[in-house]
Amino acid sequence: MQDSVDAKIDETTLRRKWRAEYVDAFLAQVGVVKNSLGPSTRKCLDDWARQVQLVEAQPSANWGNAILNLCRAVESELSSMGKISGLDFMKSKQALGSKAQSLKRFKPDPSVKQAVTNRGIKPGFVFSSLADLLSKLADVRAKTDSAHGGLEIGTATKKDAEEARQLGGKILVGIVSRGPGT
Amino acid sequence: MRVLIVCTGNTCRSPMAGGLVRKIAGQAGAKVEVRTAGLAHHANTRVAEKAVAVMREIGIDISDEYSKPVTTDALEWADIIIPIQRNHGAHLLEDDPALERKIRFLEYDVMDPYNGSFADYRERRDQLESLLSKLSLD
Repeated sequence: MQDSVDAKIDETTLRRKWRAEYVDAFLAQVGVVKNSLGPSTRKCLDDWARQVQLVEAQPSANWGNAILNLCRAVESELSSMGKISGLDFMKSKQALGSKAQSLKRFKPDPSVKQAVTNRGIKPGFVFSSLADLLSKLADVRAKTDSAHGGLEIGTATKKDAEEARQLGGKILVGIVSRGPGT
Repeated sequence: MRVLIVCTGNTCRSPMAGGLVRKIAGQAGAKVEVRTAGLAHHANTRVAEKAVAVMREIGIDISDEYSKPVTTDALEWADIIIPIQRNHGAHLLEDDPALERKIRFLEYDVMDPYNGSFADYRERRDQLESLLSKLSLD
């Protein structure tokens, strides 16, 4: 009985360890310090890794939920940026594509750029590259079923998930706060 | 007895296993209801043609099966849950440890044959038949 309990603890521990390592490897690869992410983003990344853990090496799998959870991590970090006055739309319930459009239309005044800089984020990235990256990620999400709860659209492949991973990494490294003055 | 069989895409292994459990239970005179589902299912997708074909070879028709998600309703409905791989069961148990009393693990994992050859599908079918025959459905 005790052996069985120990075996279960070990399996759960191993599964969590695998996920932590998977997320750490991703963050190290893209150059994001884990502690600079909000708790909600970290939870979303763990959920993402949990989905990957489920579908990795499973040719019949739909990778939609993995993509969805990575998008949620990006959304969570975007909403943190939405605390900056003028960038409130970043924390709205809008879809990623709509946020990208809002950002594209947004004309930042110097105070907004300064507030972004104060969070250790490069305004050049936020107001030139971010909208395109968000649009691309929204496209990956929309062309699979991950934006629709698996109801109507086609399914997501490992290749789609890899594309989302690359885009997500580029977005996160650009929007994660590095604290003031960096 | 209500049996839920769970795999990844619910396109090959669990539908084949579903057909096999019905056959095995029928031969034993046991009354079972069987559902199948996938933890990473494909909406509006029918079972893989090769799965249908190799099951037809042994007289079992699964052509009406289509890919469905694992739902709370299905998990509650089931008396027994059979994960096709240990990973599937571990994933479910992380969500709800109370499912432990329902889950019956197979002796070993049956790997995903998706996009494989007919020989791959036959091998998985035969593995499933052997493993499910040994499983207690009481």
